[in-house]
Amino acid sequence: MRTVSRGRVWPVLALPGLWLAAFFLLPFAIVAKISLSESATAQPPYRPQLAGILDAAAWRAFLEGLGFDNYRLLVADDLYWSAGLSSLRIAALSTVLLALIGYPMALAIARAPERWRPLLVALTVVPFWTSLLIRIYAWIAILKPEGWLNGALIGAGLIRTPLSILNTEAAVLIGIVYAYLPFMVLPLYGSLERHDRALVEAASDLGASPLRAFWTVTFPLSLRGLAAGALLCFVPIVGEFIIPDLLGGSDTLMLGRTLWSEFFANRDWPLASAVAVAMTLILVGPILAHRALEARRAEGRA
Amino acid sequence: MSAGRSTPFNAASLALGLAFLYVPLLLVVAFSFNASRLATVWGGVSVRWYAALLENGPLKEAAWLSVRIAVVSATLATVLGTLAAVALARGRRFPGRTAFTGMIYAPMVMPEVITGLSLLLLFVALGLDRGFWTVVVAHTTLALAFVTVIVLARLRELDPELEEAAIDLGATPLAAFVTVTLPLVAPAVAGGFLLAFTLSFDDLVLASFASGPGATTLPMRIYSSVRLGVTPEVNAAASLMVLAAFAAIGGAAVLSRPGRRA
Amino acid sequence: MIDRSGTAAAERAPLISLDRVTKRFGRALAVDDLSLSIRDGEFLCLLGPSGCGKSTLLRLLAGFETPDAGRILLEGRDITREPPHRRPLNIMFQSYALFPHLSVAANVGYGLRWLPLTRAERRDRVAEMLRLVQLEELAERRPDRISGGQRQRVALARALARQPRLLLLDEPLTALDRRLREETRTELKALQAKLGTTFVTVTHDQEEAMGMADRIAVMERGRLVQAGSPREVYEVPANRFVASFLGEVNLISGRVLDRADGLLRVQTPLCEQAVMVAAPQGRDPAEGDLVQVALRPERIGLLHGLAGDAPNAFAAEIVAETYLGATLHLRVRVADGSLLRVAAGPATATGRVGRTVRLGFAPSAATILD
Repeated sequence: MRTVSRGRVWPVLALPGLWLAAFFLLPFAIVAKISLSESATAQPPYRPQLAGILDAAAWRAFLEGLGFDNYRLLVADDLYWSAGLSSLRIAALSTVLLALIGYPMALAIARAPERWRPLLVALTVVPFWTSLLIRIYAWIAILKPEGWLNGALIGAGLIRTPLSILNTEAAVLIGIVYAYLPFMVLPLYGSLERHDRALVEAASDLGASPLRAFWTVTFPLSLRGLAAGALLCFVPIVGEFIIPDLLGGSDTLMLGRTLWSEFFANRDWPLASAVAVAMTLILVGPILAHRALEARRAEGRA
Repeated sequence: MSAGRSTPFNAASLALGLAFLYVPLLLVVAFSFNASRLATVWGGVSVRWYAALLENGPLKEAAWLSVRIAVVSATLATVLGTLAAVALARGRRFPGRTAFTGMIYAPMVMPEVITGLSLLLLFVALGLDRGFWTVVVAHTTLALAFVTVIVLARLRELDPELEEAAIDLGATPLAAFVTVTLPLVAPAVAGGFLLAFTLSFDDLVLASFASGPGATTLPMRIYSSVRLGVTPEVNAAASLMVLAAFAAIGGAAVLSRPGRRA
Repeated sequence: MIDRSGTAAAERAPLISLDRVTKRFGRALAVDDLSLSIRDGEFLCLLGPSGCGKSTLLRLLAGFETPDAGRILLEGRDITREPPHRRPLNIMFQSYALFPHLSVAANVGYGLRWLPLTRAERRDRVAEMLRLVQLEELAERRPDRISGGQRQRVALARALARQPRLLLLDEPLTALDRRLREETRTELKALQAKLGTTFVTVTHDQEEAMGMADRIAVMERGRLVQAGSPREVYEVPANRFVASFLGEVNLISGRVLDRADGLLRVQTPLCEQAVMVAAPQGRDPAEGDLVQVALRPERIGLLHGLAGDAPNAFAAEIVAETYLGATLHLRVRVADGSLLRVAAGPATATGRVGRTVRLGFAPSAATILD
C-alpha cells in the first residue's frame, strides 16, 4: 500500500548492507577457502594467501592448491565425530530442558496482571545484561566440591560427601539452561501474550476443562513461539564455547571448544576453518528454519 | 490452570525460575563483601576486595579498554542497526530483501566461535594489525542485528500516517524522519545502544579472536584469572559489573517511559 | 489566469482536475479511469462503501500514491508527479496522526516550520488557529491528554495552518462518538463556509455526506458513478447502486407499456393496472423494455379508505411495524408476495399488523432505472 518511501530504501540499506558484506559474508568465504588449503607452520599458519585476486595464473595455482585433506581428517578422526555428536546431543537436551522450564515461566508472565507483565519480562531479561562470564563463574563457585551448593547440602545434613557436579556434563547443562533461559522465555511470552484471553474463555464456555482448554487452544497457538525459542537456543548452543570450557570436564567435547583448541592451542587454522564450515553446514537447516519462521511472523503482523 | 487466569502453579513456576536466574548473581554480590579469602567461608563484612580492585592495574586497564571498545562499537552498531531497521520497515518488498534480512540476523544465531574465526582470518588476509579497531569491528557486526530487532519492533508499532502527516505538512522526507520518526523511536534506539554496549562489554569469544597481543579486554582478563583460580577480587569486579548493568537497565526504563519528552 | 467571474460554482474553473486517473495495487484496480473536477470553494464528498477506492483517490490527491495512468491538474498545472510536501493541499487523517511527542501548539505549528515565516508570525498563526478551533487553553497539552473531539480539532487546525488551497478529510467523523458527530458535522460545514477553503471529505456514511457536502461524488469499485448535489443523487440516482447506497429504496421490476406527456406507464406486480412514473431525463426507455422502478419508503403514502381512486394506488398487507419515534416503519406484502418498506408519519396508527391497507405514490416520487 505505502508507496511514498519507495526508492529511498537503497540509500538507507547501503551502509549496513556493505558492512555486513565486508565483515560477515566475505570473512565466511575466506574461512571456506582456507578450510581447503593445507596446513603450514609459517605465519600466518596457512597457505595460499589472498593475494593476486585478478591474476589468472594465481587463480589456477589457487585452485590446484585446494584440497579436501582437512575434511578427510575431520571425517577420519573419531574425535571430531564425537565432538559433533555430543554438541548436537547437549544442544538438543538443553533445548528440551529450556522448553520445560521456560514454558511455565512464559505462561505465568502472560497470565499475570497486565501492569505486572513489563516488570516480569524485565526481570527475566536483566541477567542477560550482566556478564555471562561472571554468571558462569558464579556457577563454578556454587557447583565445585567445596562450593556453596555442597556446603548447603552438607550443612543441612542431606549428604555426607560432596557431590561432584562441576566438570561434568550435568554442570554444562545447568550452565546452558541458565544462560539461555531468557532466549526461550521471550519468544514464548510473545506468542502467548498475543492470544486473546477470550479464546481460552470461549473454550471453557464450550465445555473444555482448564487443562483441555490449555492443550487444545493455548498450546497449539504457542507452537510458533516455541519453535522460535527452540531455534534461537539450539543453534548457538551447538557452537557454545565458554560454558563447556568453564563448567565441563576434559571429556565434555563440543564443537565450539574443539574449534577453539584447534585454533589457539594447535594453531591449525585450516583445520579450525574446516570445523567451522562443518558446523555451519550442520546449522544451516535450523538457521533457515528460524528465518522462515521470523519472516512468517513479520508478514503476519504486517 | 483456570481459563487464562493466574494460578498457584503459574506463580510457583515463575518464582522458581526467577530464583534460578537470580540466586547466583546475589551470591556473587554477597561474597564480594566477604572478609575471608576463602570463597565458601563467611568471614564478616568487608570492602577489602574492592580496595584491592583499585590497586589492580592490569584489571583497571582492561576495564577501560573494554569501555572504550563498547562505546565505539555500540555507537556504530546503533547507527547501522537503525538504518537497517528503517530499510526493513520501509521496503516491504525490494529485490534481495530475503538475502538482506538473512544477512542481518545471521550473526545473532551464528555461534560466536565461527564469527570470531572468520573475522580473524579476514583481518589476517588484509594484513591488519589486530587491536582496538578489529575488536570494534567484530562487536559492531554482532550487535548490529540486536539493534535492528529492537528498533524494527518499535518502527512497526508506529503509525505510518505520522510520517505521512509530516510530509503532507511540508516537511521533506528526511526532515519528517528526523522531526517525527526519530524522536518516537528514540527509546528503542537508546535501548539498542545499551544492549550493544552490554554485548560488547561482555564478549569474550569474539574479542579473543579479533584482538591482538596489546589489547586485552576485561572479559579476557577475567577469563584468564578464573582459569587460574577464583579470587575474591573477581567477585568484587563482578558485583560492580552487575551494578552497572542494573544502572543501565534503570536508565533504559526511565528513557522508554511513555509520555516522556523525547 | 483563471476566470472567476462566474458566480455559480458550476461555472468556475476547476481547482483540481483528475483526468482519467487509474491506480492498481498488484492486480486489483483501486481507481479505474476516473475523471472528476473539484471546484474552487466547494465542499465535495467522496462517498462509497469500503474498498471502493475513495481513500486511494484521497492519497492520490495528497501525493502519497502516484497514478499508473492519467493526470492530476491543479489550476491547470500538472502535479501528478509532485511530491506530497510540495503540494499546496493538506490532509486530515482518519486517525488524526497527531504527533504524540509534541504539544497541541507544536502540532498545529509543525507545518509552519517549513514555511518562510518569522518566529512571531508563526506564533500568531498558531494562536489564530487554536482560537479558530477553540483550543487556546489546551495549547501546551499532549495529544494523549485531550479528548477525542479535541484531538479532531487539533488535527483540523494543524491541516489548516498552512492555509492550503484544498483540505482533504479522511473519514473526519468516524472516530467520534455518535452524539459528537452531528455537532462536528455542522461545525465543519460552518468553518468551510467561513474560510472559503475547498474541502474534500471521504466517507462511507451517506448521512454524513448529505449533511455536509455541496456535492457528492459516489464511487463504486474504483469508478465514479454519479456526482451531483445531495438532492440530485438522492432523488435522481444514476443507477441501482446509488439508489440503494443513499438511503433505503424499494426496487420494483416492471415493463414499459407506453409513454405520454412525460409519463411512462409501467406494468408492475404491485397491482393489476399499470403505474404512472415520471420519464427519466436523458434516457428514453422504449415500449416493452424491462426497467426498475425505484421508490423511496417515505414517498409511499397510506391512503385513507380502502376504495381510494388515486393514481398508483395498490393494496398491501402489513407484516411488521417498527415505531422509531420520528417515523413508523412498515413492512408490507403486495399482491405478488414481495415485500416493500414504507416509512409513514409518526401520527400513523399502530397495531395493524395483519391488516390490509391501501398505499399510493405520486408519479414524480418514483425513478426509473435500467
